[in-house]
Amino acid sequence: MKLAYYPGCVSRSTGKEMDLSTRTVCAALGIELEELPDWSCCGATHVPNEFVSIGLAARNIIQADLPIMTACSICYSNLRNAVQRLEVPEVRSKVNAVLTKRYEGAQIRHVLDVILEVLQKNDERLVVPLKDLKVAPYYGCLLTRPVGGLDSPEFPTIMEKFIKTLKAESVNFGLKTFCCGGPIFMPQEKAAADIVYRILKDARKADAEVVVTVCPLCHLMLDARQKTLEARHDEKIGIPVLYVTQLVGIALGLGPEELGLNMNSVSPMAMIERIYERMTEK
Amino acid sequence: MLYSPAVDPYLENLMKNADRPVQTMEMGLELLPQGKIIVETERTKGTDEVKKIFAELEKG
Repeated sequence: MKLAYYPGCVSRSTGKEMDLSTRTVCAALGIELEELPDWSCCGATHVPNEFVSIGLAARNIIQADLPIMTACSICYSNLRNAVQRLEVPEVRSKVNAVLTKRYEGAQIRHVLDVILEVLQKNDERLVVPLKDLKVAPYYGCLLTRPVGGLDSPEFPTIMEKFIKTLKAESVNFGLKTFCCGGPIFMPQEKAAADIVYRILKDARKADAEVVVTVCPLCHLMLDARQKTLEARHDEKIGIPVLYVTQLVGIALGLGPEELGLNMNSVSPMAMIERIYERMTEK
Repeated sequence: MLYSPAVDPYLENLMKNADRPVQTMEMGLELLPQGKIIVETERTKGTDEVKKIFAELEKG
């Protein structure tokens, strides 16, 4: 399988481990990625003008001759939104007027969907069984929006299917589609922190050993903010938050550095040790 | 014109709530040692096209 790869801005900053684990896992699964030659911002949530946002997304899309894959659910949502809006002739003609090459349509895929498709055909590469690992699937808001994508926005199940494919157990996690509070972090930090605390407590209550996510903003809020929350509530939370690509990488037997696990704020190393202990027990 | 928080609700909000920049710095201190705070000003080559998108499409 060969796909165009759109890394997105966070792949160079707060989501470095997302990008690294995506490239490593795709290479291990035989998914060939061709990075877009001159990608720029996808026009995500911080671009308030709709036409500018669509124009920025289209500028990236027209660089690809293949279906485009991204690991960031914000980019995924924004590129898909642009593809949907560009079906309107007036919008397409307005945007095409400023682009160097005409937009003619595109297929946008998320790495979760791509990896699941590959593993459902052949799971022989999964050499480390994650049996008994309790995983909280955290969708956030954007993976399933706008509607018409890879799953239902209200009752998604694709991450549970993914976790089952890895032979792990998905816990019953009530806040799995709750917003992470990332978009209000700057103006309403206290409210955002309360949201993150509720999500992590809910995952803990469900006995999750790890939370998996598909979004770098959700990851930032749940992982990098965890120490601050622990200090504020005088309480140990200590739940690792991994990208789906990091979790599948562990199941593929890839090393921590190849997956950027050393870049996570909450170390997942104790969890990985438990996985290997359970493996030797059996 | 001098930059004034009165015309920027975002900055005005920050100034009314002085602890919020502290939260942002906390996040920065968490991410900086991991090499996650960087500015890439020269990666995108087609900046003229990006500027044109803003200039032409922002009109509505």
